[in-house]
Amino acid sequence: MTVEAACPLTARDYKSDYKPVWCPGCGDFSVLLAITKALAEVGRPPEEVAVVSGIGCSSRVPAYTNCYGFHGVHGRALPLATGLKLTRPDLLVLAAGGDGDGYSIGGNHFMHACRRNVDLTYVVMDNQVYGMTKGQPSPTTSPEWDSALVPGGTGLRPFHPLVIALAAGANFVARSFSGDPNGTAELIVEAIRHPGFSLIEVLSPCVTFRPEEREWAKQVHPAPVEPTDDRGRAARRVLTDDGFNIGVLYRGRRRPYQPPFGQAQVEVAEFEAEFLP
Amino acid sequence: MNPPKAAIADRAELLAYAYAMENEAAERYQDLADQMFACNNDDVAELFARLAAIEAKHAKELVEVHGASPAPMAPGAYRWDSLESPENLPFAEMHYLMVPHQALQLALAAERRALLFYRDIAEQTDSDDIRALASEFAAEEAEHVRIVEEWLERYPPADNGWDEDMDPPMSH
Repeated sequence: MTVEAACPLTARDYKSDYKPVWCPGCGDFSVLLAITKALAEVGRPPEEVAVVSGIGCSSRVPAYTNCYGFHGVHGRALPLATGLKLTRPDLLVLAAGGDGDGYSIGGNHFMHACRRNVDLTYVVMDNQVYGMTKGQPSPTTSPEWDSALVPGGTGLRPFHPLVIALAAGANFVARSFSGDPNGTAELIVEAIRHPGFSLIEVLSPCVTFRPEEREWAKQVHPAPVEPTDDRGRAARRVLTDDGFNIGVLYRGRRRPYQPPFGQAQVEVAEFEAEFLP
Repeated sequence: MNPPKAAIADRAELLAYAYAMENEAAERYQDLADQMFACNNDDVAELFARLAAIEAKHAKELVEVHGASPAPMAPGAYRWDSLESPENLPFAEMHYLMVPHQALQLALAAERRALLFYRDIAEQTDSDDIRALASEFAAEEAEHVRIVEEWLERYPPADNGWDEDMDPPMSH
């Protein structure tokens, strides 16, 4: 390592003046830091980056960055991000959100975003609960999680987003932990640089409704094996691991989706004119 | 993890680590102050804001007095002995009802980690220049430890039930 490897931009260049209103102790603070650090390392200036989200605590991220942002409709971060990337391939497009937004109401979009393999990065802050709406179980909540809202737990098998992503065609799959913002930043950098659709599942504790998730800090560990480019092998590993393997789990070789050749490009001014009197 | 002996190659690299540590600590304290202001925990917020100002001053001195470069290295280029820079208070340790004594205990732990970081470098290096600079920084951190210990005596420890909220987000 040498000091010459310094980044000209800093994480602070990507932070907005809006102060996050997450609960103190929330993992999303670290993820926001990781995103801004990653963008600084990638080196694209804020005006060349778009951060797109749906609804939820973690979906507030666009407001807290200094990049272009779109705080969209619940579960619709990925269609928005896909459309934006196809229309403006010059932008670095990052989608962000939570497990409820991305895997429940946005679940169908999630699968098809993986399938389309458009060159964008999706950061999911998974806290296994709907925090913004007072603690309902989400698709990744364990079946026995007992709470006032769901006495005795849901009894439902949790959704397995990484396996779904692999089966559907995501080209890069990684898992991270919010308590390691530098490690998360490194993974985001790699995800951004990897062509196609990249998913980073960040275990991000909700200290208000799932205070026991603070223990994740003691449970996470580096994945014991090197990343693979074999989807089947990656899926088997993810299905059989303890859920706390951290690192790159899959690096695919699919070519990112490109719109068909010959399609007429619509200039922004022409598009805007449709909305003007 | 702590930079191994061979990792701190020269003065510039030690200054890069030192600047990152002070600057990140300043930014972290300010973030934590903002969090606490948002939760109307003004006592802790003001404490964190004061600590942020102290760390920012040190970062500035590193640039102006020692010639440190304010440009950060890539996130993965730093090798700390923990998940983050030793002087950072982990976000996860925060609670919206925490009292100043608890905040200062976390700050004290961070200052002690920073002290150990520099001491380790001073003890492990073969370079007189690096040893001298690391020892100087260790002495500064020792002074910070003393200041925070002094502050701690001004604030009472948290009462039992300090985290009880009469209007909690959700009743279990």
